[in-house]
Order: sequence, then structure tokens, then C-alpha cells
Amino acid sequence: MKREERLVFLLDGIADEFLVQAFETDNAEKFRQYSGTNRRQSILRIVLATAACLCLILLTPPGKVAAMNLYKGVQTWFEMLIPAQKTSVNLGKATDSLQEQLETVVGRVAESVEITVWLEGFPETVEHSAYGVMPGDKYKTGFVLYVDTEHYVFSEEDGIYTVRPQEFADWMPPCYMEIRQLADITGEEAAEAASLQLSESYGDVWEIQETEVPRGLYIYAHDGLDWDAPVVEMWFIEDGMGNVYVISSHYFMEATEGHGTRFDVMVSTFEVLH
Amino acid sequence: MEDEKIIDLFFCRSEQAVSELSNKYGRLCSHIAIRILSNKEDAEECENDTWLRVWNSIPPTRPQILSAYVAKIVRNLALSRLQYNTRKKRHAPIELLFSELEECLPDSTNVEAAADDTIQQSINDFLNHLDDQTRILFIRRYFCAENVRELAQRFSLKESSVSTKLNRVRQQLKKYLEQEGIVL
Repeated sequence: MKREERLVFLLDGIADEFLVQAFETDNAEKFRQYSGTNRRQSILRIVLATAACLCLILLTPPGKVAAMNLYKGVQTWFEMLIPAQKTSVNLGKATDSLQEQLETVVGRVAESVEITVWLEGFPETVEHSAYGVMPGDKYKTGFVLYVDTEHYVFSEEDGIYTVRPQEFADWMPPCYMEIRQLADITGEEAAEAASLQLSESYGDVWEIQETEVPRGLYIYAHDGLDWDAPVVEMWFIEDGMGNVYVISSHYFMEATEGHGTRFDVMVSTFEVLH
Repeated sequence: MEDEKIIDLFFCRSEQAVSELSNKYGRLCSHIAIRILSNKEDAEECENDTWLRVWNSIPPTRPQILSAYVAKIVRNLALSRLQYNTRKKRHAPIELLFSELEECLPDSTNVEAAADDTIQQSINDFLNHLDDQTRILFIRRYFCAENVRELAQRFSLKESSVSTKLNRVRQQLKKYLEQEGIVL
């Protein structure tokens, strides 16, 4: 018997109470009643205990001096662990031409829709507004995308359309989504080229898959399992006129259930306009 | 019917015991069997063999948790049937489960393999240290043989999130077994 086969059989020895817990947890509601991590709770306890000790030290004069010297010595470490503030970035208003195009797109599709997003097992209903571009001279098709404007902003520069969080901290890995159009190429060609390129920077690139919503091809890649490991998802949607829309969402591993899910929901609203 | 009453029926050698057991845990058993065998006829046969085995083992056995007892029997029967059926031809879905668990194996050495009960105890100790959600995902994947897509749909999670969590726990299990000096 192979070693892995033996391990499969040995799982029969899993404690009965663990099995019952797993059997009885058969839906999302029961699943989210349980804790998702022990590590977070442990870290929280350690941080609170450390903070309490520091407060006690600061009450004594020698303690204050020692604390100041210690703070100066590890200042950089504190700023990385406990950031003082989040940075808000003002991306500015859309340009006049983009604003006109948006108004035209909105005239053809619903101005906004309410979408229920499931985040870590909890539902959240968020209004999403229509953004996009009309078919133009350069490309015979346009697109519409419903954007969660409560949390993100939509902008355009040099033909690349970007969705970014309204607020983000400088010390966090980047999170954003881009839409661009490639001319005279099939979805398969674009996906294969992207897959090759991704394999140069990402340790794990999944095989190209077909997706239904939106209808096209899909690649998932990540580079490691650390909390800040980069993750990218790419969709390749043919417009039926010989061009391909490429949507790519970029975030980090710990943001999979947050930004990752919200980006997925927005991508699912993407539609080519003819 | 409560588990205790069903067990009492077995002790009384009442045929109603099997029908009550089937009503209560038939779905669980067929769920596990069909995930492993991917064949309805074989899964049904395993299910029937499970009732027979339970009938032959109770009494004298008096299981503390009937669902776990029955699940382990059907799983064992299904895996044995799988081995018998697929000596030459491997089945892709369950083959993936085997290859995933291969990642949990400590690097092999010339040291003698540990005993079954030692390994099982270590696995339970490891599972005890996991958070509840991760443990549930691990058991449903590697005991019940549910695939990643089913788990994601069942618990309203992203497939990539489930895959990543399972990947992490496999790495953690491997590290744990190595630290314990466990060799398979």
C-alpha cells in the first residue's frame, strides 16, 4: 500500500467528536458560527497583555525613560505593526470625455443595481453603479461594469480602466482591478500569453479555465501562502469582433475574502456592449 | 429516532434497527460512498454492506457516537472497494485526494514506519489544534471526500479560498508529523 493510501485509511481514526462536528456543519450559517482562526485570538491576547504591561511601566519615571529609549530603538517596527493612520487618495473627478461616455452608457443600461455580496459567510447588500465605455472608433465594442462605489473608485488613463479602493494604507500591498482591451487576438491566445508571463513572477499559476459569468477564460495565480503573498485573477472575454477584454484583479492573500470577493462580484457584472 | 434507541433495537436483534439506521444515516453514508467511488451502484452496495456490518457488530459493540461509527464503516468499505476496482484504472477525483495527502507525508527515511494508533493519535492532536472552520474543511475534504467546489458552494466561500486553506493545513500537518518524528 502506498504511503498516501495508508494515510487515507488512517483518517478513520479521527476522533468521533470531530467527525460529528463536521457532519453537523452542513451549511454556511452553521459554518460561520465557528471561529475562523485561533491565531488571531492568540495574537490579540498577546497584544493586549503587552499594552497593559507597557502602561504599567510608563507610570514610573525610570520606566518612562526606558520606554522612550525603547521606542526610539524600535520605531520602525512599531510603525509597521501598528500604523498611525490610513492614507486616503483622491483620484480626482473623471475627465470630461469619460464623464460624457459614462452618461451615455448609463442611458443604455440600469444606472445602478443592488448586489448581495457574501463576505466570510455574511451577506452584505451594496449598491453598484454603472461605469464603462461606449463602442468607439478604435474598438467597435464597449463595455459596462457595475462598480461598488461605496468602497471603490473608477478611473481611466491611457485606455486602461482601473477600479481602486477609496481608502488604502501605504504599508499594505496593492489592491486594484484593471480592464483593458487587446485588438486582433483571441481569448485563448491572450490567456496563454498571460499564463506564460504570470509563471515568471508567480510560483503557482493554475491552468486556464472556462467561466460562464462572464463567459470567457480565467486564470488564477498566487505567489506563496503568507498573508501578503500577491494574488492575481484574470478574465479574458472576447467581444465577438476579434478583440479581447482582459480584466485583472490584484490583491494579497489575506484580502481574498474581502477585496478578492468584491472584485469577483464586480467582474460578474461585466458585459460587452455592441 | 434517537441513537440510543436505535442501538437498543440492535441489541434486541430487531430488524427495525436497520431501517431506522438507514432512515437516519443513509444519506450520510451514501454521500461518503459516492464521493469516494463515483459510482452509484458500487456506492449502494457499500451502503448495504455497511448495514450488514453494523448488524454483525452491534452487539457486543455499543458505539458512543453512532453517526461517526457508521461513517467510518462505510468509508472503510468504500476505500477497500476502490482499491479492488481500480487496480489498473485510477479514478481522477479520488486520485486527486490521494495526491493532495501525499503532500502531508514527512520526508521518508530509513526509519521504521510508526504504528497505526500512534499516527492516528498524532493526527487527532493536530486536528485539536486547528480552528473549527479549518478542521471542518479538512474532515469534509479528506474523510468525506467532498471536492473543493462542493465545499465552496456549501459554505459560501470562494474556491480559491478553500483551496488555499486546505493547502496550508496540509503543509502544517506535514510539519507537525515531522516534528513528532512520525514516519508512514
